[in-house]
Amino acid sequence: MPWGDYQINANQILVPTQFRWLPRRALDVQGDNRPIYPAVRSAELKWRLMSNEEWSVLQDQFRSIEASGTSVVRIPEFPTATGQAYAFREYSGTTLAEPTIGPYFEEHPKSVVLVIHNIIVE
Amino acid sequence: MYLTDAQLSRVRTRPHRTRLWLGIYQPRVIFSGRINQAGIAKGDRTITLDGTSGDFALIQGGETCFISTISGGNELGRLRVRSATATTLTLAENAITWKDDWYLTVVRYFEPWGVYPRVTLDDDNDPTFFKDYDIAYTNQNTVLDPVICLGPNHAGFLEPDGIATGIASVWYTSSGTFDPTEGGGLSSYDWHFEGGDPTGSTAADPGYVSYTGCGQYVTSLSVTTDDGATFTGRRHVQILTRPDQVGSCKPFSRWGLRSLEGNRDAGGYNARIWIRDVVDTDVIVDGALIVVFSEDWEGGTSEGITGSYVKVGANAENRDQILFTGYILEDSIRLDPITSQVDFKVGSITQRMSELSTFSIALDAEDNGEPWTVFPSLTTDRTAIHYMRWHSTVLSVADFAQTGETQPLFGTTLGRGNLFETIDGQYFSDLMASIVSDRQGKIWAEVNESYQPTGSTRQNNGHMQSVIQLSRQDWRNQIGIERDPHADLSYIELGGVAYSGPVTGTFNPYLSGAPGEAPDYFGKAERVSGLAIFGQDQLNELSGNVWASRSALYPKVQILLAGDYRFLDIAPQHRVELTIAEGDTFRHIEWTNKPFIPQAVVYRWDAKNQALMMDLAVTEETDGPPGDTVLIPVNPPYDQPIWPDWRIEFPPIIPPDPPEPPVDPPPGTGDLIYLCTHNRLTRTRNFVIGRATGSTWEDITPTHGGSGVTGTFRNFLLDPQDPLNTAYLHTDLVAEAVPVPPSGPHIYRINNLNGPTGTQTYTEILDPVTWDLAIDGGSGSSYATSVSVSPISSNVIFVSGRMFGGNLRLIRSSNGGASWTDIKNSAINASHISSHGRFWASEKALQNLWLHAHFGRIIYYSNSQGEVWTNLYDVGGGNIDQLHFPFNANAADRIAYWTENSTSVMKTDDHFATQINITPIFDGTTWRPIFNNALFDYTARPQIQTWHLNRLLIAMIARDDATEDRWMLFYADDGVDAGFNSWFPRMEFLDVGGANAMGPFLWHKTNVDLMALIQTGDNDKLMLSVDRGFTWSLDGLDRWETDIGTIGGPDFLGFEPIAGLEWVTLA
Repeated sequence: MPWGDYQINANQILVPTQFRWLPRRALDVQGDNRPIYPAVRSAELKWRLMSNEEWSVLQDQFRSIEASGTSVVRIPEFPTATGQAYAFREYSGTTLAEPTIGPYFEEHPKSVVLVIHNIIVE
Repeated sequence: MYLTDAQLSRVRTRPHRTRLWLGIYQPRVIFSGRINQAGIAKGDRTITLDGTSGDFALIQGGETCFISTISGGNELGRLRVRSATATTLTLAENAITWKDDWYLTVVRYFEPWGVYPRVTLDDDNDPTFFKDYDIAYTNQNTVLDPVICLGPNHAGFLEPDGIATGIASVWYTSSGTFDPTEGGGLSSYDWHFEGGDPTGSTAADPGYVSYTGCGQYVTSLSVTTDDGATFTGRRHVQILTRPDQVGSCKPFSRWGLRSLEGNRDAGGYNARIWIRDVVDTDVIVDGALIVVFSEDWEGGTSEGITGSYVKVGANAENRDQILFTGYILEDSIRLDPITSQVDFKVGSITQRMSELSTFSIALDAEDNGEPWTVFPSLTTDRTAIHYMRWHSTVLSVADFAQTGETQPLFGTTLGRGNLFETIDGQYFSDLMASIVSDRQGKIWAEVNESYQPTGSTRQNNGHMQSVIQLSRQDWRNQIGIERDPHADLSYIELGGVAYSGPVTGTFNPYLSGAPGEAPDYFGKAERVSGLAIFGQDQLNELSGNVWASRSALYPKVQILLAGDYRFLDIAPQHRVELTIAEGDTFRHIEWTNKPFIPQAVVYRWDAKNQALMMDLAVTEETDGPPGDTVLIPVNPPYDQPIWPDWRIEFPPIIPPDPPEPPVDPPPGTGDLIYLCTHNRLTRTRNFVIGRATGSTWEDITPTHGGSGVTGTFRNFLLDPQDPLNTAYLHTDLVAEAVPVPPSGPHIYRINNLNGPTGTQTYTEILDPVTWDLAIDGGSGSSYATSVSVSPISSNVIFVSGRMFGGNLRLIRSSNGGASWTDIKNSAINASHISSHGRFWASEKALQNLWLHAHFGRIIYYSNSQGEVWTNLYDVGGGNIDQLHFPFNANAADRIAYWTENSTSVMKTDDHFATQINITPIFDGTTWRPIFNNALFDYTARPQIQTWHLNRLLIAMIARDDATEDRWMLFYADDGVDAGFNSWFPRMEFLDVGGANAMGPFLWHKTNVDLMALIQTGDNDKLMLSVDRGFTWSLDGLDRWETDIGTIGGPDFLGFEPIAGLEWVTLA
């Protein structure tokens, strides 16, 4: 199994099949026609297939902060003018949406998605 | 609050990020115990306890005591604590029905309460007045307690990151504290910071105090004035750890802010909050203190976005992170059993004040003999301060800023009610001011700034400076501008009294009106009186500004702010300048720094995106030219009528029975008709049904020629009330030329008219002697010409005719002929009373009567049964031949038809005031109502008949004036309203063989289709039409001579008088 630099609260998670920063939806538009964006971003991790053990890691991380608290996640850095071209970086104060799964392939969960909210990228 | 350029730049930097946290103050228990007082009475205040825990010495007056049947519970309510001993607890005035063994729990919580005064009487009935239950009045009205400001209730995290070992710093200042006593000042400060470091201070502004452990604390500030008055204010402080850190005091994390709105008109803010955390029911209770605080980031720089800093924007110094403080409103807590979500409303201190009932008080500036109601330095501010201080605990739990207005009051009365409305109402009635709570819970008493004079006065306390200049980068979407070109007020009149104070004690009343003598076209007129003022100039300025403000062209501008601009609040009032470029609005409104004042704020929190947005409503800041002085009249005008006492017991209204539709009699068959001629009274009972084979006739004059009847038959008429059985017959002997009986008229009532032949009897009701044979006039016979029986009463009978010599004779019987009265009197001109008068009695009014007299020239009218007569119409030369009133549908008998001189048919719609000629002109000729005016035929030969069938139908028989041998039946269905053009020829009769050959003409009274007409020409006929005159059958008289006896052959009627042809309506 390819365990990379992806971490949640210092726990390594399976390298996702796909990672992307979700586009922000504008809250509104200013009177001078400039969109008003929220300060926080969200990132989406997708796995086409993973084991039950790997799924359990995601579930445990979500449950640990379901009611209160935040997570520190290590994911590819959002590209900024001052950041590096491609590097992993820790973001604190994030929250996790409940990971979702698709149909099973034999005994393995398929199409797993985890969305991380409240990421301050600046 | 003034934004520096750097602050403004930062506010406009995007994005903004805000995290909100919810703190509910959870007071710790100070003291608890169980009632041990057998026979405890309802309303007891000092209660004996046992099983106590805690230290009674720690109890402070004003704390909250919960009442319960279980230890630590609160389900039976709560009371304000006054004091405690080791075994007793003294509570505020109450009406609780206490029970032994209940539990009482005192917690360290100071909340707003209502406070009630008390008066006791000693044995001599001398009163003692208590300001509170156990605080007697001494000098509280002259030596006022200070008003203490020490900032809002507080909640915040230990720093850094909310860890339990962190330190929280809270800024304290007494800024805003003042001594309301006239000329007074503050002398000392005594701070106590529970849980803080330092633990206390005597400085006015201690600055930052550190808290090193989380907990729920109380900070108090006692201030003493120069006069020695001391008062204590308290605030609650929540020092918290973050939810993900170790610690016992944490904010609620699973919660949401449904709404947070503030409005000056409502006096403060309201919020709706939900919580889904596991919640102790002792925490979320009515009246619990709520603090919503925030962590904020502004700007796009790394430093600004990642580092938390003090938000720009709050009234309390260095407490910018306190977004909102309030109290859970009564009965607003709801639990959703499905989601376990608790939902409740939170209101500002002013909203909580609305839930506190208060006592009425009266204060006088001058000595009135009751020391506790005398308040020598009375002003509106001092009234409010006094009331809040002594009739509530509000001033101990909230900051307060007065208006600063100093107009002396002679006296004031505050009524019972809720605390907010009482204070707010007092401010408005005195100063047109109001009280409003800001977001953090400070109460601001303010006059609407647009009412204030411009310049420095309007900018008192500095807060009317321009806070920000907003332009399109500051709002979302489009700015909403309401424009109201129509003034709200057309006119306002303000009245006030300038009182010089108790030393000089003078009063001067003033009135002022705006905009001036000429009010505006739109809006309403208002009057406010009783204002406290300094003089006329001030009142004029006030009225002018009030009118301008209420008539503002832009009363509301809605601005959806593009970020968190929370430095804008609804109180204190401040100025916001709007700059709008031409292209910013569709209406091309262009403003440059136009001043407005915030009126309402709505916060919208998007927790997912950590975005706190604001909607702001502002109103145009105005000022107007001074109003005009209104002179006060010496005698006050009564602007309201003095109504009588209208307390009248009206009887119940019983709706009348709905009117029944008129019931028409069933149409008669028309078979029974009487013909009276040749001294024969005859009848046929098969006039209509026998028309094919010939009607058969009966002679019912059994005494003809005998002793029962004397003279020649002249008039025969059916009794209008009993036409089947009763009729009247008039006979006359006119041969004598001298007044010797039996000359003169006889009138008989015929009885059993409808009985078998031979059963009819005659009763004479008028004889020649009664008629009066006196000679009157020249020469000539005496006879009657007309008999009329009232359609309303058969007892009223009129007879007219002539006396020997020719003059008119008029008599009336009101008893069916038993006796007669002479009704010819001087009312009828003696020169106009000559011969053959005829009567028509009204169907509508018994007293109405028309007389046709004086050789037929004049129509007289009487509405007194003939006692008084009026000359209605004089035809001049010639005769009026017939007169016909269409009684149905002829209101007040205004319509009549008549014929004149056998040449013209006339009509009047106004009782003869005007006469209209309606003589038919048809087929190139004029058709004349030629009338057989042989003696005695006046009533027996009618030629005009009417019927009312939705419209007035009229039919008339007339003669071709050219040939004199051609007659026409004319018909009109509009009452001949269109003149002679209304007539339609319905039946033409040719070769009738005589100039006066047609008539009488009858129209059956209950069967509109039946008409009868006698032709007395070459071959006498009694014709019948069953289709309203279109076709006629001949002839009803074929068998008359056969049945009655030969008299004169086919022309037996000839020119002989027809005494009567009467169609019995009901048969």
